[in-house]
Amino acid sequence: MTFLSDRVNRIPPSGIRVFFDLVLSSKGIISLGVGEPDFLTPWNIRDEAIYRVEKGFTTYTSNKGLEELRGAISHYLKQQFSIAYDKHEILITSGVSEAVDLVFRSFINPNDEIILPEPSYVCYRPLIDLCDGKAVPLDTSLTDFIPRASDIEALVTKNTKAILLSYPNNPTGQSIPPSEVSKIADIAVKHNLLIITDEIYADLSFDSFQSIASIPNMKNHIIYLNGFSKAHSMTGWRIGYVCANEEYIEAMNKIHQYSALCAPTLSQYAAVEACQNSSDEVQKMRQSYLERARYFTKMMNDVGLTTIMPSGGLYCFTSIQSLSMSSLSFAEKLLKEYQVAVVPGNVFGESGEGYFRACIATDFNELKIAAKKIQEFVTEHD
Amino acid sequence: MNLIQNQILELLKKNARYSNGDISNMLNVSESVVETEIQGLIEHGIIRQFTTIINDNNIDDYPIRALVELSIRPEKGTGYDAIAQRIFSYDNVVSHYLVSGKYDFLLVVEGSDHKDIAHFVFDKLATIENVKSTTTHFIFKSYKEHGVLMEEAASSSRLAILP
Repeated sequence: MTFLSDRVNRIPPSGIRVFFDLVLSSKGIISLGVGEPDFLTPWNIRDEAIYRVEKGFTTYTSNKGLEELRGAISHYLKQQFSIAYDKHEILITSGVSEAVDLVFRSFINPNDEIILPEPSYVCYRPLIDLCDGKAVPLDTSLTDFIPRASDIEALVTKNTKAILLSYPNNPTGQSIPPSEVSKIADIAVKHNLLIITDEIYADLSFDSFQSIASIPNMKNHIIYLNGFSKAHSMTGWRIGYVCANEEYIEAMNKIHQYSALCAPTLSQYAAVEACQNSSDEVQKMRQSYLERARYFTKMMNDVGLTTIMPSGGLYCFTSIQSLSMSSLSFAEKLLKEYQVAVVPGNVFGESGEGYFRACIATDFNELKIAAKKIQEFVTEHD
Repeated sequence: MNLIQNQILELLKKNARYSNGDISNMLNVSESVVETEIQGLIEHGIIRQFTTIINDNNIDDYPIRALVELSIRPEKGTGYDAIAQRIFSYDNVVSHYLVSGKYDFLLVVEGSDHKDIAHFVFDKLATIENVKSTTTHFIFKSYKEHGVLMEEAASSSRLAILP
């Protein structure tokens, strides 16, 4: 007999755990397996938190988060992405991860289907499972990792509740072109579906980015997620947020008030500073990621490993199909023979098999050595 | 300056050892364009030198530095520039600025030891007719040079692998 719940037992053990443990215990490797920026949080943001510590801003905030922060985010979204949410339509969470969990728990009934374009970040499927929902994957590998509206529509059934979008995408780095974004919005309206859009990498778009949440008159269909971890190099601060109409926000707040109470107070003050005074820093970081993404993309394509230039974010997603080996065995061999760690593509769904993800937020000299080692690996195993 | 020139300068400011090939890949332009642009920047006197930032805090027998403030009586016709030339022409003046505020010239002066610098200030700078007064600040420790921290601050390391 086990004390564990059936619910938690249903989450399959991660098949990749052994490989991850191997990487974590390896010394002297260059890791392109990292999942966060390589810049420290800009100093003005850290300094703001220090000031708040000194002044004793250490109590809870309201459940929904500091009014000042929600106001700053409202202004920020309007400026950056032409997205209009009032401060009462914003809920501050402990990272976007909490927001994703809140959304699923607030909107998924048993057997509801969520259309999930893959490859995608790893948290969605298990969290949908925990709510007794059903993730319906859409393989985007044949369409340059861009989900087509027609392919999404083909998966719609009477049980479909929502479409989950996470673009610019982890791991592929791709975004959905504006024309396709509009079509997806039309499908949501036509079939009365919710769109859950996780845009944590949007601020690191190399080209202009159109959010589906900027389309007018869609508010009843949209749940918008974003946060400070990636663009502002604030991964450890744990500040995300969810935007939606007031009814939805109040519903999610019912869970949030009991499960989290509020997001970390000091981090919320730091996030206000991030919203208001960090655009130059973010621009510098974005430019640096762009340069390194271009570099890595070119190095991989030069040696026959097809890599589509990412449109934003921290990752390149590279095909190893020319090498006739699995993603995992490629990653294991690369680690053992060349001391370079990457994330096997199948971690991000079946459609990621035949690829690996490389984090380009890596010191340029190390990125260069790693890219050259991958080139050598290809020459040797070709 | 055009956008590419700007981006090349920003990269070279960070790391003068980037190869033309690296820069070409990072900026998505051909290597020959990078070469031509860098050559142009050199010819137009915008790039003056490719140099190295050294942390001399822990090097024994390394030249020491002082900031020297000079109040100047400018000359009719040539203003500060002619006097400046008499000063910056000394090899041990490694930087020389005309500044606003209580004094006019701010120099960074290098010498083998304190005596060496003191001698230079008293004997060479203070004796110039247009120099009204001098104030010398010896540099004890350098925290940051050209945007680079001299000692890497301790920070938490990232998890080597994370989806």
